[in-house]
Amino acid sequence: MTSDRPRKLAQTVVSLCVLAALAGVAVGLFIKQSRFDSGRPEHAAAAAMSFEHLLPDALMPMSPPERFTPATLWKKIDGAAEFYIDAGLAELSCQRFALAASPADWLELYVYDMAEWEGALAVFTPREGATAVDLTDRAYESGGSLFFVHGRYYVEVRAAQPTEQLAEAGMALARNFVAETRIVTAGRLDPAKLFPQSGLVPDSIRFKKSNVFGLAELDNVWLADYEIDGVKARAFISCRDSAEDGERVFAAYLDFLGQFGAERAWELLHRTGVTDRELSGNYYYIFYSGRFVGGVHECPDQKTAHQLAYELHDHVGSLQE
Amino acid sequence: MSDPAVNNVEVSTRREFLGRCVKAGVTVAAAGGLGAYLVGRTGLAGGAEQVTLADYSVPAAGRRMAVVTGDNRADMVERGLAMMGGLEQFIAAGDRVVIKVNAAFASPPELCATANPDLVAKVAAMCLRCGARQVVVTDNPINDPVSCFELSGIGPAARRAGAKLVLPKADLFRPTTVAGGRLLRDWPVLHGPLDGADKLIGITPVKDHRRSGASMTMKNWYGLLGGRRNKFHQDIHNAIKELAMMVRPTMVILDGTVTMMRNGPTGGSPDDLEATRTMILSTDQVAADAYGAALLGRTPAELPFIAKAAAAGAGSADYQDLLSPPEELN
Repeated sequence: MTSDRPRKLAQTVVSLCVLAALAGVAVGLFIKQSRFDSGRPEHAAAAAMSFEHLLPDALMPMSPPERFTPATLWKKIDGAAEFYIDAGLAELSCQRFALAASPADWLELYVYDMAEWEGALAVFTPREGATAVDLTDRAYESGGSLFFVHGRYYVEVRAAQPTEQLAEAGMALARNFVAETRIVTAGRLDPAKLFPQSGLVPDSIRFKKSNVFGLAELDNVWLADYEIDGVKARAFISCRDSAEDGERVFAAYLDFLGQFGAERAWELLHRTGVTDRELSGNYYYIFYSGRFVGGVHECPDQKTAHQLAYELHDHVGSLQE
Repeated sequence: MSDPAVNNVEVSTRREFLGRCVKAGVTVAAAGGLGAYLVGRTGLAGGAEQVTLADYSVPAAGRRMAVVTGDNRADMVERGLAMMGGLEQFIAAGDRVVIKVNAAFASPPELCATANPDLVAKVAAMCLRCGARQVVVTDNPINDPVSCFELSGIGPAARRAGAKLVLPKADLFRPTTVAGGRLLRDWPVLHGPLDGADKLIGITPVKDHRRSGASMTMKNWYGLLGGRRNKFHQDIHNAIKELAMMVRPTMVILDGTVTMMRNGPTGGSPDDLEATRTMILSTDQVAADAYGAALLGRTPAELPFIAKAAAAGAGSADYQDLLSPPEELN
């Protein structure tokens, strides 16, 4: 009998542990289920970025600040949420402000913290009819609202109505945001220097964070549009972590095209690291050079694609010298 | 003869074993019961009574559709309803009418991200003139409901027209399961305003949508869902199909007077909009969306939810036989 005692003690301890775990589950259930989620956004004023120190005299707060994380962003912008999340969104802070002299006129400030400058560029979408404004190097006005990139922030100042008073107040708020929000500029690639200038369509350089051309392996890509002798082409460049990673992405791109039946377009021997494919009358060129992967995607003219790909290859090579 | 001491040990072990089994069973049952009770308490799932949305269509009216072009929404909807045979074909004296608007965002009416307040007011007023005993305007917006209804102008417009505004409180949701559905199972739906309603009218603008390609009449029912409904964006076309299976409306009104052509569903600038000067009224939500696709420069084939909803029996994308020549106003 005495030999049973340690065993019984052990069983009791184990049983108590199991009961404690079950109690923990019950407490967890209670906490979780006591917070009904009807899809409402929470006014997390304490955690949201504060904007009131940026307010020009013309504006006054109209609503409390709100904060949305990738998990809750849909509660603010619904079907557009994935667009920002895919580009690396850290959080969105926003708040509505009204004109002090005319409280029925209001605007809303959206500050998307995209974690990195490239992420902010990835969601900065040009609009037709927009007018460039002197605010940051990427900023425009459209329909009385402002859209701009400041460091890792993509910012929208959305005016409820396109009135002069709201536009002025919105611009003052935007200028205060730019002046008061510190950003890091060191170590940035200058995208304008990545691409050869001949044939480059002005203001067409943009950044895609993920799943570029539908290829999961191809991320953090700069894109640029070209028009050469009337033919439109799209060039791309991605700076990888290492030359090995560049070669891996190069191979994945070719494999991806191959899955759709793409075949070698030109029997000529290309330079090291450059190759081509033809698929349904479109031409694809890709190369790797050091840490860079680049190419021309889906160009309807082989000669144009070839010329642009080699110019790009040479240009990238000169960047690394 | 067995050793009595050994027998005592065996009996003791068996008793202990049975006792522990009982204790373990009670513990598991208690934990499970507590979990079920807590889940049921929220009304999200389990516990709350399952509901099936009623059929609000008017079978005698059959499939009808009217297309009006113009700039004044109030005039256009009045003319469109006349082309449909008159609102009295659909609304009877004493009816309780629910108007499901798109009030998804706290956005001003000028940006056309939400149903137009003048249009909502006009339809509500016409229903009341037809003898409706009550007109309810409702939605479960993405943003804060009060801000959405007030800043979109829908709330004040509805009140001015004599309609009752119903905001989506937690106790108005009930779980529903769409028969034959794969996604909408045991999911909370804004049932309170629809409980006891006789007719249901959907009013929504035509918008670009990053996930589904378009937000029109079928997508408008997304605003009846509660919970973390964003999960349906991962399978958006099937989700819209199931929404169309879930709701059988009296009529839908698709407002393409001004269309959000890009950067939808939120937009943010008048530059995202184009005056497409078209309003579509239909008893067939699939037909309305098939027609509306063209306002966005798309074909029905480019919007997979249309074919899926048609295949599921929610309507027909073939609207040609429904159309009389569009009438131009203004």
